[in-house]
Amino acid sequence: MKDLSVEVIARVEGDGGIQVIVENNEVKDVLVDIFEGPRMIEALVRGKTIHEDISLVARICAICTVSHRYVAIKSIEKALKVEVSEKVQLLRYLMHLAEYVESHVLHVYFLAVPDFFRQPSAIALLPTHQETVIEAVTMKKYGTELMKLLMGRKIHGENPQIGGFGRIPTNEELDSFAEKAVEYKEWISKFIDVMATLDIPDYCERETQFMCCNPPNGNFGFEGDSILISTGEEYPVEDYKKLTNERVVSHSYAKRSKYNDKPFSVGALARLVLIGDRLTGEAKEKFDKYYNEKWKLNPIYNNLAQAIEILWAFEEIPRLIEKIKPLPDAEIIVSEVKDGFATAAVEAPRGILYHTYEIKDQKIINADIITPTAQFLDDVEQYIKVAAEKLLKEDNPDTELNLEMIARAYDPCISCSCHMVKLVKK
Amino acid sequence: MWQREKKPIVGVFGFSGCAGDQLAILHMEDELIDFFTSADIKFFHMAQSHQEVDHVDVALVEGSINTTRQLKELKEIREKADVFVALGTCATHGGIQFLGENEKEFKERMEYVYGNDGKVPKFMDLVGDPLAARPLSDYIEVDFVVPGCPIAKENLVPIYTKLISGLKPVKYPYSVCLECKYQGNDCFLLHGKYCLGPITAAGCDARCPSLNVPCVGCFGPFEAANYESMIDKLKEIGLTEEDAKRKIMMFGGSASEKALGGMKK
Repeated sequence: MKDLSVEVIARVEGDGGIQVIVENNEVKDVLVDIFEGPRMIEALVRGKTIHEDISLVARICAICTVSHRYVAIKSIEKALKVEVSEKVQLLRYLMHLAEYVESHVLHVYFLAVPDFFRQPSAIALLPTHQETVIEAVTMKKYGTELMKLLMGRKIHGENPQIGGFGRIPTNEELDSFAEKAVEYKEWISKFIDVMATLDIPDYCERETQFMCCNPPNGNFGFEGDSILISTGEEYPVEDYKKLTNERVVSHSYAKRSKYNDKPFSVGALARLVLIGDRLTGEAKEKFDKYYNEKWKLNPIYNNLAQAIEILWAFEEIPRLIEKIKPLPDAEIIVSEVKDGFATAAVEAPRGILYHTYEIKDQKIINADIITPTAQFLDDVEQYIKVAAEKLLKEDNPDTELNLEMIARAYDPCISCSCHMVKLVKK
Repeated sequence: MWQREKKPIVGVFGFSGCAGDQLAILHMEDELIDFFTSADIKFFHMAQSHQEVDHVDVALVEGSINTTRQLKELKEIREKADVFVALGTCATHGGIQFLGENEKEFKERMEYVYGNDGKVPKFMDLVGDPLAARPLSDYIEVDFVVPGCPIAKENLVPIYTKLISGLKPVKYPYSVCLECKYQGNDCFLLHGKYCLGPITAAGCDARCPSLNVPCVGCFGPFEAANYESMIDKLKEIGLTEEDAKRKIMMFGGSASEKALGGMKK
């Protein structure tokens, strides 16, 4: 029997492939290969100033550029003990939510869903599902335009600075986004009901561990100073090394992680498993309606988890804008660059993102960045192994597509992780 | 509806980078459906499932070359493409990860990121051997460039529509500084604050200075960049020569390295 391979995983960000090595009809090994070349961002920010650093690290990834810039700013401000005003804090939260809309809509509608209709792209769905495709494009535009307002442009905006924003948006600019969110909420709500009717394949079920940031005050959200684990443990973000144990493997320029010597998951599914009961409003209703124990076993549910988070973002954005509007504008706080060391974490759309910096003599002297994809790649390989064993036994003709769907469900961010399915039968 | 008999065949390819230039295409929400229907997009693996191509009329290529595998693929794309367009600063200049000839720094960075007790593992043939990052033009002939980190729609759309219509695009031979004047912004440099607008390729409408944030040079240097005068000005406002060069090299890549390497110190 020959090995199986998906040479290049399509509809993901960055370059990867999957190899499943088969010997005597048994799956011997699964390798999610990352061909994306090494950029070594942690090394190149050494010797740079803190301001240069935030421009550079945002460019690790275009899809989650906000998360990278945001967590870098948080980490550096923590090291320098800078406290920004409530307005700046809330505007940062808003720009992070904008990224969730942009990234999740892109993934759910354009990258993941076409598989369920056996189509090569969302554009190929135009003749049959024109209304849904146009709603998707419109919601994505909403996310990118809100990012543009707060970041200064859709990708790699320089407006968020250490200590504040270059330009603070006006209340009128914010109002239009609050109004549209109310309208688009209905679209995603309807789409969640459609997604819930799609057949979720059960060839990739196994138990795993989950991790996510613990947002303060028992709220749902996308950042926190400690990490919750499905084992019931909780650790401060400063213990990130113990939680990730990063290592290098020879088939990938992305590093790998394990906790308790076992793979783990991060991302929308992990968040809903661990803190989904903290959701509010219609998002909570959908969660209560569709969430069940199967979600914990099957990464394909990540797509539905992301859709519920889009709904939650559309509910949260108008509430947040109402809080922001009465607050006074704030100038950028320029603080003295002292020596320091700090770790911060946020939830990027695809999972926990850690940035650690050591600052000495006005420069960054050490940096450690651990991306979500570097954390969950081991878990992806394990799910693909379970699925490949089952699909090979059934002699399933769509084995490669099905394996690719598992990788795609995680929404891997390969540019980020440099630092996806090929089955090779022997 | 009228349709051309044969639409031009287009491929969108990506090497090392943040995928921001491919994403910038997907972020043109208003033009997105036109983009996908006005040409025959045969290859765009970020947006659609993989398709083999043996020829493209236009190749749009982002990212720098960081592995031997990528170098081989780059040469294949060049052979298959009639017109080759480099998208974004990684492709045109090497990007933030540019290392060029600096093998020593390359080795140090590999050890810092991938090393275990100072030893970097051998990567499998399949993923290719690592290379010090370089722009595409260091290896192949590039026909047109679209600058930006990431590219701006305002640059891409005119070039792309001309190319798929069989016309020759025009270049942008000026700097961010000119666009900043058009925007009516106050000048950072005149107020003693650093800004790389005078040497940076235009096309962003002076976005950052318009937000009261200095230009970090993310579009890379424009063709007629006057480095000597830029460095003199930065020194005048209090930066050291080392600071000035480091800031220029953040996005300056191969072009700035050549220029700075050749200047008297």
